[in-house]
Amino acid sequence: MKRAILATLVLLLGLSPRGQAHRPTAVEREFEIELPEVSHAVYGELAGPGDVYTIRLTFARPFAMPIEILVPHRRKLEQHRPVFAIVGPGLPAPTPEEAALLPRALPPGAGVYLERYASEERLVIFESFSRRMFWSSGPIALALAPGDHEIWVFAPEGTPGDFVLGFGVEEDFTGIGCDDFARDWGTYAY
Amino acid sequence: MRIESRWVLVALIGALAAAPSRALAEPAAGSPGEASEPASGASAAGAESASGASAAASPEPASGASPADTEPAPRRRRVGWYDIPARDPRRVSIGANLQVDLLGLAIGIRPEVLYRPFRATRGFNLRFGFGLLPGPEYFFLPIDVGWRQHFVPHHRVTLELGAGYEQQFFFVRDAAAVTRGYVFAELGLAVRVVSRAWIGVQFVPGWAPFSHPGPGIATRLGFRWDFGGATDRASARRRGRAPV
Repeated sequence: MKRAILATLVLLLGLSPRGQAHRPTAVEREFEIELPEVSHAVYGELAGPGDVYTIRLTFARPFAMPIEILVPHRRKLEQHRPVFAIVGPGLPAPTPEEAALLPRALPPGAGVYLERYASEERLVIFESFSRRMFWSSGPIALALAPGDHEIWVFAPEGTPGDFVLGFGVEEDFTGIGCDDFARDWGTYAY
Repeated sequence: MRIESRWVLVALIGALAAAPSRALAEPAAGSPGEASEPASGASAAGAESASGASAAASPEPASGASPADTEPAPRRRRVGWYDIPARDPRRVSIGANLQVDLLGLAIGIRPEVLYRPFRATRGFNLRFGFGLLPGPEYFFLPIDVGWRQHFVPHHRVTLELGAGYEQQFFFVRDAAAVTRGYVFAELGLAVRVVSRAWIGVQFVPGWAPFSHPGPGIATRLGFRWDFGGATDRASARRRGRAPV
């Protein structure tokens, strides 16, 4: 009997397709990501007009980074459309329209990629590990040059609300303890 | 004394093979109480206990009594699963649970039907259920089939252990529904509050192994009503009747 149960469990786990799980991280307004190649899901909440999250990343070599921004699929967040701007070396200079949208001036020598997230139809995705439904800006991949980069997350309309920024490639959950996960359970699960 | 397992096996097979024929043969030769199949558990217990009581109360046969009068009363027999029709309501329990999904918030009701395919008085149940669980991000509709064992179901407190397969549907307004297969376990405790009514709590972890893989955790607060089965068995015993 025990062998049958064990075999069933092994079979179920073996049949499970490899899922894309992000390393969950609840961040402050200013935050530095130590392993930018690792797949992250950064959870934050914009308070309103003028609120900006700044996430710093440093790449030692060129890196093609997939990135998307998600909004929980809730009625009260239907009008909430946060955007992100990647600021760093090797990126193009902003157009006047983009420059007007940015929440702050660019550092000297830096360019920017601004994800406008302005399409009328919003992509809906099901995040199976946390069993949540999100609106997504749609994943894109950006070729980033070595050096220091920043990701600014803000809402051009000034709407308050939650967001999740997903980026990175490699799956690595080392250093995340159960206590960390339990402490931020409410953020990740709801 | 060493008993060879093959003889035990032979004895078991023999008992199983003999049991149905005995059950069919008994009503023809039995007492009036067993001439027809009882309609309910209580009546069955009453009929059998009545036959037993009449046998116990009958005086010693007179010398001029006919052979039919001197024939001893038939022994009381246990009613097995084969004596109760498959559609007998004593095999059924219904339940309603308030479920809270802790991973991906959804709160709602989960009706369920339990069916005892073997002995109606025992704790082996097949479970069929569904749920209506609205949440802030989607409407969750699970449909499941599984097994649930009620340990010591004739006692006031029972342990519940189960497992099953669930097809989950997640509905949103502006996109197609997402569906995935899911396997789950149930661990619970139930308390009998009145004769056939139970309340209980359950912890239900699970895992979606196929498309959209991921875990799940839910808790339930439930009510269950037995249409017969172990509860009747317990009450029959209390009244000194045959267990049905």
